[in-house]
Order: sequence, then structure tokens, then C-alpha cells
Amino acid sequence: MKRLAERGRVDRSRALSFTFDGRSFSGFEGDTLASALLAEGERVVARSVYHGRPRGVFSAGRDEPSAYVQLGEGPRSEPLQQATRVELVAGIVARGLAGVGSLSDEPDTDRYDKLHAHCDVLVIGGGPAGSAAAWAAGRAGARTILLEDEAELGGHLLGVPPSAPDTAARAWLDDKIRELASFAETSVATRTVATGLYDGGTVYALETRKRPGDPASAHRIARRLWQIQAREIVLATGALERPIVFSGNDLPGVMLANAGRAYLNRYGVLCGQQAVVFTTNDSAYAGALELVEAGCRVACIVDTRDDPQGELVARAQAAGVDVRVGSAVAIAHGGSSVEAVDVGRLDGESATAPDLERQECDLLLVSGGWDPQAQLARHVGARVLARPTGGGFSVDVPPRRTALAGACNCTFALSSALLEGIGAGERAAAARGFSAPPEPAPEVDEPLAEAPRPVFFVAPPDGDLSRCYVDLHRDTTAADIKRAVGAGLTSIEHVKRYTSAGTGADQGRTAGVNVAAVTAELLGAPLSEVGLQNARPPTVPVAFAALAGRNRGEMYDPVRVTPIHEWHVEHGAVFEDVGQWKRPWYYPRGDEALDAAVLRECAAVRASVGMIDASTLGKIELRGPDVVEFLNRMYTNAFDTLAVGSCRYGLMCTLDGMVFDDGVVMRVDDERFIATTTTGGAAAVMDWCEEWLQTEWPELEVYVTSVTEQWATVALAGPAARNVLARATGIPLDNGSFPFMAIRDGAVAGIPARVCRVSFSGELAFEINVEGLSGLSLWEALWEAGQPDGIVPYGTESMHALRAEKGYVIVGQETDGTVTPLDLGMGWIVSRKKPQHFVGKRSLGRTDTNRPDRKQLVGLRPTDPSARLPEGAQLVLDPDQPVPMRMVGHVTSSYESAVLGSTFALALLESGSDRNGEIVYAPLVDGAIAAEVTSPVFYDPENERRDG
Amino acid sequence: MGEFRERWVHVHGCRRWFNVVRDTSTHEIAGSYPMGTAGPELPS
Repeated sequence: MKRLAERGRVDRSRALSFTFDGRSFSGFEGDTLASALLAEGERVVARSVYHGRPRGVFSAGRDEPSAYVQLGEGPRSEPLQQATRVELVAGIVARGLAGVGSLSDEPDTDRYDKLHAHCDVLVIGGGPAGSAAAWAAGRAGARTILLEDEAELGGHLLGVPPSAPDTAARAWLDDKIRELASFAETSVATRTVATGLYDGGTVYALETRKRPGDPASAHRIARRLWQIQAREIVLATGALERPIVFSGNDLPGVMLANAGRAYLNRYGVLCGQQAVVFTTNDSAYAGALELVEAGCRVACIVDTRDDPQGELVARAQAAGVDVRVGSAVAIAHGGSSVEAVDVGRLDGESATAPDLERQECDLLLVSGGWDPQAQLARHVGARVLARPTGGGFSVDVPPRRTALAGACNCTFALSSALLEGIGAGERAAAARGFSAPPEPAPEVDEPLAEAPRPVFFVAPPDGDLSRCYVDLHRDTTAADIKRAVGAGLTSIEHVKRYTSAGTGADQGRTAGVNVAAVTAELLGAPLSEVGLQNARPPTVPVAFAALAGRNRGEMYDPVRVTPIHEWHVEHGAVFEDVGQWKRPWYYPRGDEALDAAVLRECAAVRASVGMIDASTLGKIELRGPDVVEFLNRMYTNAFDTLAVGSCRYGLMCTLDGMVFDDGVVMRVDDERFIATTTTGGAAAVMDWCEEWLQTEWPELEVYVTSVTEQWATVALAGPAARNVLARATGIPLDNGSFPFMAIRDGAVAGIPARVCRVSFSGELAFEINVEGLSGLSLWEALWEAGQPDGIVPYGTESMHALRAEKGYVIVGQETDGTVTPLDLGMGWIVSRKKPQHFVGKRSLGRTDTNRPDRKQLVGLRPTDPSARLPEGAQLVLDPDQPVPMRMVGHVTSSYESAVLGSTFALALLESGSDRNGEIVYAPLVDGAIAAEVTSPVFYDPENERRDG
Repeated sequence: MGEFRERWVHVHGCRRWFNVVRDTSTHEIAGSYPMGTAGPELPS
């Protein structure tokens, strides 16, 4: 047993059984998976990603590079979890990973959420400095949020024994942490890690609400992504111990010194029986002394410094520990776990003398010094400078409205960190206008730390660098860095990309500085010149599911259906997606395929009558005294001449004169219009109107309102449309009293309705608009009224074929943002003589938009009337020319026509309006299709059918 | 580089267009003012 009878914060009365690599183990409430495995004597947790080397627990926190596990099974399985950050829960199932985890093939059944929060002061990190800062800001009355990655506040103090000399300060801190809960405007979020800092005080944080792998909390929201908007930020993200690179430094049993200390004091686990401590500084001594006290034999402390004189050093010597000064561990030996180390005198910064001394041990605790963790500051561009002492890097100038406090600011002593935290919290609150009378800071009795002697890399005497791991997670060795430098790479960013050192899921926390140091040494350059790899969000892996939150499936892209949708479903409609809308594509009879159904539906409309659900058309209501002027400016044609009770087709251009959207505009009153838009363009047209009204023409008093879903629209089209509608309404429908492009209000099927005589098929047609909820009743009434005439419901495909026969364009099908109204042969709708300006007018006067050889809309009739041109096919004048052929246009729409008895197409063709009668070709894989250029109007060019 | 006048729109909220003075190197927003008003003087 490695578990001690007394030490630690675990609850020994609550044993938890769990499964690791198929075997059963037991731990205690308060354990992590790592501490429980160590207590059970499990040295090897995983295999390394490329070399397949055995790896054990290396750290006690987020910096863990080695002990990665897959948690749970099935759709909720969590890949790539650090055993050091998995809270032990009963029944957890984990297995060690060989490098990478795997996602389940099944959809994640967990729920994820998002949360927005706003605060005056955001404190990131709940160690001593951060807790003090949150307390200071919170007591001043500032709205304060404190984020802590772990389950409880306290930071590194959780791994320090209660008997340590700073007891008074810790009691003070415990008191302040309790007090935090009483501040009305302060909230503390534990198990919540800041993943990124962004401009303007935006911080993202990931909260783990369900303990991963915990079957008992399966019902909870698994994770929650916070977007926090903070006015002032205090970073108190601490420091991490830096490992030292030497041969065999990846063996299980080699561990960061503070981790060995934390396992002892926080979890009551002794990680070995005979330890060697390899340090460059004082901090490892405290842990070594605690190990001795707990019954571990500390064979020796290997200190890089020639003459350390600190109080802790003296205490270690007094306790009989062999302190070897000016020395280093050059090689760690062992199979699946460390068994011995070779120790020698340091010769220079990173070399050892050839005379090494073997020392047996089963635990090697390493401390290369402490690296401040201020990656978040670097997310918004803060630079780092090489530190004058202690090695590594620190932030040069903190970002705006951001303060650094505690170890992340190189303030390592507890007393100074607390003072700095209080000061940072007070200043942040004061910047927002909050203050409180000062309260005395605690007094701390702590030994004065002596300067470290940083050593990053100890080369073995035989010069073999292939076991000197710089990045344990990525299996990068000093030999790899040497190859990178040998290949001519000098930038740390290039070395990173060449070797992948520092790119792992651990964000290279234990690797970053050592990669720079080894590179610097191999280049013979100072560390300050080499610099540190960039830090980018996120600081920890964030599951895509957490980024998506609830925006999955239908909630990611909502499905919009019309009030008549149910009827379409019941009548077997096949649907197509138009933007977010589901629209009936066609209504097959029996096992009828698309083409057959379209021929039948189109024939019915031309011969008798059809009905279509047109509710998805965008509808915008425009009101106000200046509405006519506004419409004149937005559309290419004039609206001041439109009488109340009439409607008019309108075209909109963008500033470059290209077609943007089209639709019918109804004048329902002097100062009230309803403009319809394309189904897909409704939101963009609304935005466009608002932008012009608010930014360029604020003097126009016009109110625009989206009413798309307030109206349901049914169109009746075909020679029998008037008969059908007459059965359902008393509105006079004859051509005299209800002419083409008129609108009439009245009751249809007893429902208040607005009826328009517009046609998108060339046939006599009525569009009946009623308020949305009555849509289905209207549809069913017209369906009944149409039975004597054999009315047929038709879908979007038939609608498209019918309008194409008439040469009516669809914006987005015939146009692609490069097509002017003139290109479409619609010069008639551009009132260039209109005195006032309209959007796009100037561009339509440019030479280029008036070139005669622009691509223009034409009709195409394949010479073989059964050959159908594929939409999108490129057109050439000579199909036998060598490849690459000169392309002169493309097919935009192509159908088989019932009424023409042949196929036909619309196309955009260079100088198309001058090519009537010419033959063009669509070269395809299996031969070219020849087609004659025609007018785009294939059917009823005299518009004789629209009046019925 | 430096402070720059920009047009912004609050797409997911009130849909209002407004002017913003933003520092293009720090992304710091110095302030906002309604359309049609002159706004603050910028350092030349």
C-alpha cells in the first residue's frame, strides 16, 4: 500500500471502486484518477504516442503530459482526459491511452449549454492571489466573477501540509474564501477554466458540470461554455514547475517535485520508497522534508547550485539528507519504472562530467524552476521577455485593463502574492468606481528563497539525445530539436512546426520553455533571442459539442414550415430545402418520379388549374410619409406612379448595379406598401432596407417590418383559376373589375383576404393572402372549390419549369451577383430617365456594364428535343476545339416542357442577344449537346393567357 | 493604424446602425455615437 493512514484531504470513510484497463481498483472521495492509481501502486498509466514508451503520472494538474486516459464507453465516452484532472467517482471506467483517444461513432447524447455573463472584475485563477483579488474586489461592491479550474479554491496551498509555517496566512485566506459567498455581487465558478482571452475584455471559459465518466450525474448538463464580458481582468493563473531534460526523463516514477508533494499532502499517497530529488531551486526542499517525515527515504538531493545557503537547505542537511551541490542527474535508468539515476558534477550550464555515480531510487522528483503561466495575456498580444533570474519567460506589459497577480507575475512568495492579489482586486474595483476601507493584510512567516540556478538540459556523457524528452506528450526529444536546427530552422515557431513539440492537447505546458532552451543551446543563441512559442486559445481542449451547445440538429439550423405544411405531408409531397424553409418540391402520384410528376403538374396548370403554397415568399411591410420616395430609391423602377389597389414587379440592385432581389410590390394605401421578396432573400432585403434608412437616408420617415410569417399565401394558376376562386369568394373577378396587377381585399372562404392578380406562370392566376393561422383553412377551401376542375397541387419544380417557359428569371438561379438587369434583357425595368437616384444607377452607366459582349440571358432549344442540358453546363461555340476550350456561357435552368413537347433551357451567353438562331454546344463527358439560341420566352410571348 | 470611425450594426439585438470609434491596432473601442451626429474629434 502506498496510501498513508493519515495525511491528505481525501475522505477515507468513502471508498470508491473503479475500473482501469479492465482491472478493479479502489480509491477515496477526493482522489483524482491519478492519485488513486498511484495509491494502488500503478506506475504505468499510458503508452507514449510515437515511441510506445511506458509513461506514468508526471504532474498533479493541467500540465500533465503523460497520463492520458479514455473515460467511459459508448456515446458519452470522453477521449484524451488527463488522469490528474479526473475527479474520482464510483464506477468510473478508464483505460490508458496509447497516444490519442477516439471519439464514439454514435452522436454524443450529453447536453451542452452556453452562458453569457457580465462583470466589473473578472478574476481568473482561485489560488491565493486570485482568491485575495476576488475578495478585495467583491467586498468593494464590484460585480465580481472568480473562475477556478479545480473543484475548490486554494491553488497550490491544497498540496501543502497544514503544518507549514504559513498557517496564519492560510487561515486568513480560508476566512476570505468563506466571506466571498456573502458578497451579493460576487460569484465563484469552480471546475471552470478560462479557455481564451479576446479583445475588449471578452473571456471564454469552459465549465465542467457533469464529472466526466460519472454515471450518477448522467442527467446533468455535461459542460457549459461561458462568454464573459469583463470590464477589468485580474489574471492569477499561477506558475507551473518546469521539468529538466535529461536521458530517461520520461520514465514512470520521474515526476515533478511539486506533484510528489501534492500527492503526499493532498491525497495521502507516497509515490515511492526511496527518492532522489533533482532541483535548481529551494522549492523542492520543502517537499523532500515532508517525504522524509512521512517515511520515505530521500537518498539525495541533487542541487545545481554550487553553494545553496537557504534555510530549507540547512534543514534538509540537518535531517541527514545527502545534498549534492553543483550537480545534476544525467541519466535515469529503468524498464517500466525508474530504478536508478546517474549523478555527476555540473560542468558548465548543461553538461556533466564523465565520472557519474549511480544512485538507486524508485522516485525521482524534478524541479527545474517555476514558469509563470500567463498564456491568456498572450492571447491578446502581450509579449514575453526572458526573465533575468529563474529562467524562462514572463509577460512584458499586461494587456489593457488586465492585471497580473501572484506567481503568474513572478511573485512567488505567499505574502507578496496575497498583497499583490488584494492590490489588483482593489484597483480593478476602483477603476469601476467601487472601494472599501482597507483591511490589514496577513502576516506570513516563510523562509526567504534563494536564487535558483536554472538548468534546462543535461546532455548524457555519450551524447545520445534520443532519450532526452523535451515534450513527453508529443514524444519530442532533444535529438529531434537537433535535427530541426540542423535542417536550418532558427525560429522557435518553425522548430515547433517541424517537431510538433508543444502542439499537444496539454498545450505544451511542461515543454514550451525547454523547447526554447534546447533550441537556444543548439543554436548557441541566448534564450531571449530564441523566444517562446506563441500561445493561442483554447488553453484546454474544448469539445466541439461544447462549442455547439444547444445549436445542434434543428437548433443549429431551424426548419421553417408554412401553416399548410401538414397538408403537404399528408398528400405525399416530396420537400426541398429553400434556405431554412421546407417547400413541396413535387407531389408524386403512386411511384411517380420527379420528371413525370412535373410534366403532369405543369400540364394541369396550362390546361386547367393548379395551386401552390407561396407562403414562404418574403414579405416586408413599408409604411410612412416617405415610403414612395424610399421605394423609388431602392428599386430600379418607379413607384410614385403606382395606384392604390395595384401592384408592380420590382427589381433591386446592389451598389455595383448587379441584380440583388426581385418581387411584387403592392400599394395597399397611400403610405403603405407590402413588398414581396424571394424566399431566400427576405432577410437580406430587410437588412438592406434598414441599412439605407438608418445610415444614408435618416431623413426619410419609413418603417419597415418583416411580415413573412404573418401572411399565408396560396396561388391559383391556370385557365380555370377564376372559376375556382369564384366558388370561394364574392369579390368580382372579371377582367374589367379585377384586371391584371390589381389587388382586392375581401373574404375568401369566409376568411379576410387580400387577393392579387399576379402570375409567375403566364397563366391567369390569383394569389390569395390571409393571416398566417388561416392558411390551412384557405388551402383546404380552395382545394375543395377546385375539385370540379380537377385542381392539382404543384411544387417548386413545376413552378420553376412554368416560369422558365415564360422566360421569367429567378434571382440566384439566373443571377449570381455579376448579372445586371440589362444582361437579363430587362432594360425596360431600369428607369434611367427617372430623375432621382436609385441604388445601382451610377454603376449601370459604367462602360463595363454596357459592353455588348457581356453574358446575356438567352433561351436554348437542344437540337435533339429529348436531350436535356445539365444546369451549370458550360457553353462553347466549337465543340471540337482543343482543351482548354473557350467558354462563352453556362446553362442556368433546364427543364423538360409538357407544353413545348421538348426540353429547353435558359442560359447566360456572351453577346447572347445577338446570337439568336446560332448553335452552341455543351461539351460533356459523353459527348456534346448542341442547342439553338432562342428568345428566353418560349411560351405565349404575346401574354394572351394571363387574362384567362 | 489608430482610431478609426466605423459603422456597426447590432444584428442580433435592436438592429440599430451606429458609429463606433475603434483603435485598429488594439481593437479598443473609444466610444459610439448615433448615425447623423458628428462624433468625437479624432487625433490627427
